[in-house]
Amino acid sequence: MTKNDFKLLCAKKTVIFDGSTGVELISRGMTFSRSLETALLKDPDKLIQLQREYCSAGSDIIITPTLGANRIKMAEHGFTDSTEDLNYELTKLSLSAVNDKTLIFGDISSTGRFVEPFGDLEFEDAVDTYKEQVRGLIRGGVEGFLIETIIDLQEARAALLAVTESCDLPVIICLSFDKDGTTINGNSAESVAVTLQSLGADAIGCNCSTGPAEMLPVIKRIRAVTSLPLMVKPNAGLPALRDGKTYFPMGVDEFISFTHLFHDAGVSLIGGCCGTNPDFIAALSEQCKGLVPISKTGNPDSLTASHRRVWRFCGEQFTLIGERINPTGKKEFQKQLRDGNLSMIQTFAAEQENLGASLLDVNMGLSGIDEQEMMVKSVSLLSKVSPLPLCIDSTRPEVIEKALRIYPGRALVNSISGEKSRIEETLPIAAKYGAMLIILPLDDNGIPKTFEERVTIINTIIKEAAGYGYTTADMVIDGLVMTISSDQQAAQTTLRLISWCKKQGINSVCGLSNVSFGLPQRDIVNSAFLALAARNGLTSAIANPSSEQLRGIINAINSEGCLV
Amino acid sequence: MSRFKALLDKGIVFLDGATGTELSKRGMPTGVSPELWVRDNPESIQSVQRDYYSAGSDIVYSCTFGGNRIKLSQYTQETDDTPQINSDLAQISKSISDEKLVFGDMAPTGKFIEPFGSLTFDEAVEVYREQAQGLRDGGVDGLVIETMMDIQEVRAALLGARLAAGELPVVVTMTFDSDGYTLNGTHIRSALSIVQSMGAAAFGCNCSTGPAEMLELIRLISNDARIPLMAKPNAGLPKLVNGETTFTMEPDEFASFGKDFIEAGVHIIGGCCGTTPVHIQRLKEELTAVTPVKRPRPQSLILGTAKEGVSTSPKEPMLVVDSSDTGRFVQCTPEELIKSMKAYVIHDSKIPLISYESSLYKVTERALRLYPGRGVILTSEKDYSEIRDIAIRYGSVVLFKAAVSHPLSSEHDTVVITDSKIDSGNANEEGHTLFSAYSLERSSSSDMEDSELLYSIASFYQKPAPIIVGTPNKKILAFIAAYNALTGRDHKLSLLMKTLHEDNRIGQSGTESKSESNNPVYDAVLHGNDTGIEAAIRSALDIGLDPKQIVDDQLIPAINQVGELYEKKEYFLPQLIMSADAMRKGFTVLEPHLAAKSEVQKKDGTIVIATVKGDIHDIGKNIVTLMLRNYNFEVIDLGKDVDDETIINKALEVNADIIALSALMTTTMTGMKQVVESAKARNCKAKIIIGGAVVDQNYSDEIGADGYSPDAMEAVKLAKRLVANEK
Repeated sequence: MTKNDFKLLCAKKTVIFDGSTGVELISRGMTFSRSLETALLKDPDKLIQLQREYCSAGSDIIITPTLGANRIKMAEHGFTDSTEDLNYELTKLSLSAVNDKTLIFGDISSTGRFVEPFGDLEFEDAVDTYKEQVRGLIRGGVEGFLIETIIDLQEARAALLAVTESCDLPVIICLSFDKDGTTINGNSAESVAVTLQSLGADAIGCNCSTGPAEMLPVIKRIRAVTSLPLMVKPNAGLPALRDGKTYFPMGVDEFISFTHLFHDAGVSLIGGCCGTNPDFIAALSEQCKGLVPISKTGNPDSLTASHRRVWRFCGEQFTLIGERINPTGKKEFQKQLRDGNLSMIQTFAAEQENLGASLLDVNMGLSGIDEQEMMVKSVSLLSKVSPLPLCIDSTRPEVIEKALRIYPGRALVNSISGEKSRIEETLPIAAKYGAMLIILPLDDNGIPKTFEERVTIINTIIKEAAGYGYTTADMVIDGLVMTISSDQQAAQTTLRLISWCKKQGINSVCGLSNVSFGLPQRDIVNSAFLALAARNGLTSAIANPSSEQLRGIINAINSEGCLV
Repeated sequence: MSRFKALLDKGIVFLDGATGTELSKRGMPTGVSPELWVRDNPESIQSVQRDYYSAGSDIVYSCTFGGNRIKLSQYTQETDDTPQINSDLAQISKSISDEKLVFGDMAPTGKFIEPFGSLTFDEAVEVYREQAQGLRDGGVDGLVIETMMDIQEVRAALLGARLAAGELPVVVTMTFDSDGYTLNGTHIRSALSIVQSMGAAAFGCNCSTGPAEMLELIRLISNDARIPLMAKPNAGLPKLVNGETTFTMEPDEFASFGKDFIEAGVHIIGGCCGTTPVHIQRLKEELTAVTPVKRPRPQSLILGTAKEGVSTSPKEPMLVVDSSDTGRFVQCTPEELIKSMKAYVIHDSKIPLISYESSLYKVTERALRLYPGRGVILTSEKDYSEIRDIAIRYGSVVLFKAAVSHPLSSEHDTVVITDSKIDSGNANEEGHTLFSAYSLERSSSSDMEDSELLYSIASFYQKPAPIIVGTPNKKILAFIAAYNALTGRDHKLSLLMKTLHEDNRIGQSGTESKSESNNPVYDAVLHGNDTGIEAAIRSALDIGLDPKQIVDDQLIPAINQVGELYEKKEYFLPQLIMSADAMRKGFTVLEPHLAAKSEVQKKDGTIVIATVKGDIHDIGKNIVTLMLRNYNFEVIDLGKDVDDETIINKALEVNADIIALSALMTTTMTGMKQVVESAKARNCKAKIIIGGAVVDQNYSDEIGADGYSPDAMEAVKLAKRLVANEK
């Protein structure tokens, strides 16, 4: 199944998944000493029976019984053979159970360990672990993937990359959220949705953890930040204990009473998790007949995300990108970086956050250090210590690649210009990780003086980026202001460009401090420029938030509201 | 419709040329009053004017240039005949005019008006009223006030003309030096604004200069004039021949300026001293197929004063009207008022802002009448009707305290305080006369936070000619200065630098400001006066200074002083560039002289400069190049994105003392290292210095360069040091 087939399917009808597999098998008397996965190979009948029942009940998609079939998880059960083969065999089992009309999706879930920067599992180890499983599933003949029951956004990213780097099949990702809409790891529903959508997921949703009632508000929050197809796979209510055993108290009628609410919230894929069985799915399937999913309309948002929160460009607030994590001109910081000491990064992050920064720019361009290594360290550190999304600032494609790969969120890349190297090297990298882009209107001939030349370059870049699936909502155009002390037209050219961006409905940004280079009291000139630029439609700025003057103007901009 | 208006509608209007010289040719003896002589010999002027009419003049001037009571008193006791004399002279011209026009000529009294002289303003008005009365009685088609250099006398003449002949068109031409100022120091732009706001039908220049210089004067006001522009230049600059002033420009050359004048916006054209009917004829032939240009509607508001004038337009700084001092004229006696006006005229050029209240009609009228410029009346819509007449008469600017309910007529400049949040499209809907202003007082009364106020002001910059009214504090003024600079309203950033600089000094112990000398060449460099340095150097050469000496004793010390001021943060980049420009101009002027004396200055060294391979940033490199050149280095600029081979080739070829490299990116700075290595490999002895945002001394050491400089001034010092060590 191609990604596009999947998209069309999700638009056409409410797609029915299966219900619980593991819990249901156990309740049907399945016993196993080590892992369910290996037990199924020896004793497949109950599974085949169950999956046949799901098919008859109306499941459009059945998932392979491979929830825990990754190398790390299997090793806990003493399994040291190839998980590729294991997944292959288990896929074959499911294939033998279902009819032609039913699709088999490969099921992937947690390794049980936290991935760096949050845990000790190295990111690339996590990716490799999943790739081994993915190979087996592909070899077995799955039509797509469901990555589910995950609580760590970084692990979800590793699993997603493992799939997208192995094949072009569609991938659905469901994380398990608490009632409050965050995972145990602290990843918010919005962060998860924005990050995984930009990284290439084909559908997003939630499964397990809660019942349908608790899942509904979470799915609504996800809908607010993504236009991807949404999936829910709730438990049959919140688990309860009876006679020392966990059970799920919700009956079929109550379970399906939420279907229309999910439909109204925009859900197109629905199934059941723990506590559900073919009866649930039959009722669900009956209820969903002819139910066409509601797709999200309107312009896409411009969202960046850390693993904890998202930041919307052009929302209610002006976007202030804190510029301080940059060694240029900072003697003490340079010295520390050369010594491998990152403590000032942490200080800068906290200070800028307290002063109202919405994003943090991270630049490690300094002679005498390994920019790539320091960038990865900084990004990892900042992911842990700061809730602010990051802006990855480097001229080197390989540095940007490493930073984006490790970053558990959706970053902004600073920057893509019309220079050949940026278009040919940096842009594909940014696109792979779905980062937002700062577009710099210059090319190999230098920085154009005129407004018209700049617009030409911008249009060229927009066209190139569209080839990678980017829309203008993913871009922030740099007004590229030069100092007025050497060219008095400089500010006006930029103001004109900003007005143009506003007219096109594209976000704009400016590194403010350039404008006052060579002048006294730069703070005043910078702030005055910010005020003028905001009047012309500027939606964000890269600046030092410690300027009181500047914060005053930003407060004034925000109190007038309505940037768009 | 007046006949004058009909003429203007038809196309270019031609005036006459010189009259006095033509009368001499027809036998007028020297030393007589032309007015009195012509009155007795009417056929003389009629002959001259017939010649002008047949040469193509549409309008000739009556022979009444010196026909005011004060001038006539030098020749006759019977000054009470003044109206009759003027009337007679007007009739003499009128009788031969057929379908053509005669304008009654009025010119200076030769006396200064108070506070500079003894003539009171009211007396001056009466003198002109009397003359205008006579001219009107004689049947003139309009009045011309010409060859004026005192703006206060022009105002008196306009008021006098209006009293006597309110129905006649009155045109004004003044004489200006080529720098744009009258001898009394009024700038042409200011004069234009005063004259046009008081209802003159046309404005321009006559006499004083030849066509080439006058053309430049006209260009100073092309964009601001709402009334037709006039030019009546002399036949070139005066020359002394046998002890007599003569004008020698031939008709053909004179006429060749015609098209340029029309292009600059002139609608009415003629000649002054030294011109003849042939000049006018050739001019007319030159302009046969030419029509006046349609000028765009001016967007400027000029508060004309006796000096510079204060103005705002889309290209000029926002006008800040300080209203803290209104009511200054409240309840003062006439004597006190005259004293106050003197203070305004003599001590500063600020505009009186009069907050009008009903009981103050008389004092308001008086203040506006005496002020030699355009006063500003702050009023409300309710009180407006009471002062409407004086606002029109004196060409005042009316500043409304709040938005007005209906559009005002366009009879004078009107500024309306509007809500800044109103769409800027409202600003100029009444054409050229309605300007919108932003009131600081109103905003602060609503407890607006400082930053919100500043942000509000920013919105005002989207309007064509913004004005701020209120009592701004230092911070607001600093922001306004920045807004001006950022929106292209502050040429060369001079106002910004001044504002921020003064602000800088607050709280600092009073450091002595830059030392000044009495040397114009030195000062021109120090102040970055790139237009003044040429003249300064020429006069230095004229008084016999040695060119080499000018370089060593003046240019070099001046640029060194600039460098010092830059380091002390008293000067900033714009000044540095301005001074460097002036320095370069100075050298250009001096070079031929230095060469003539085979004293072309030996350069301090040869530098090859480039931005390294892969890097396209060159602004910093260009600034460094400029500075190095101004400090007497031979600099070969190879541009940006230059590979090491090209750099070393050039360095070897010119035997460079120094190679200067720039890079702005961490990815490209490695190119510097390559240059260092190539230099070593190819035995290139040039010292290598580096600069750019990402490099530092450490990097310089690391790659084995000979030095690093954080900015352009330091680069100069570094280069000097390296070259000196070498020698």
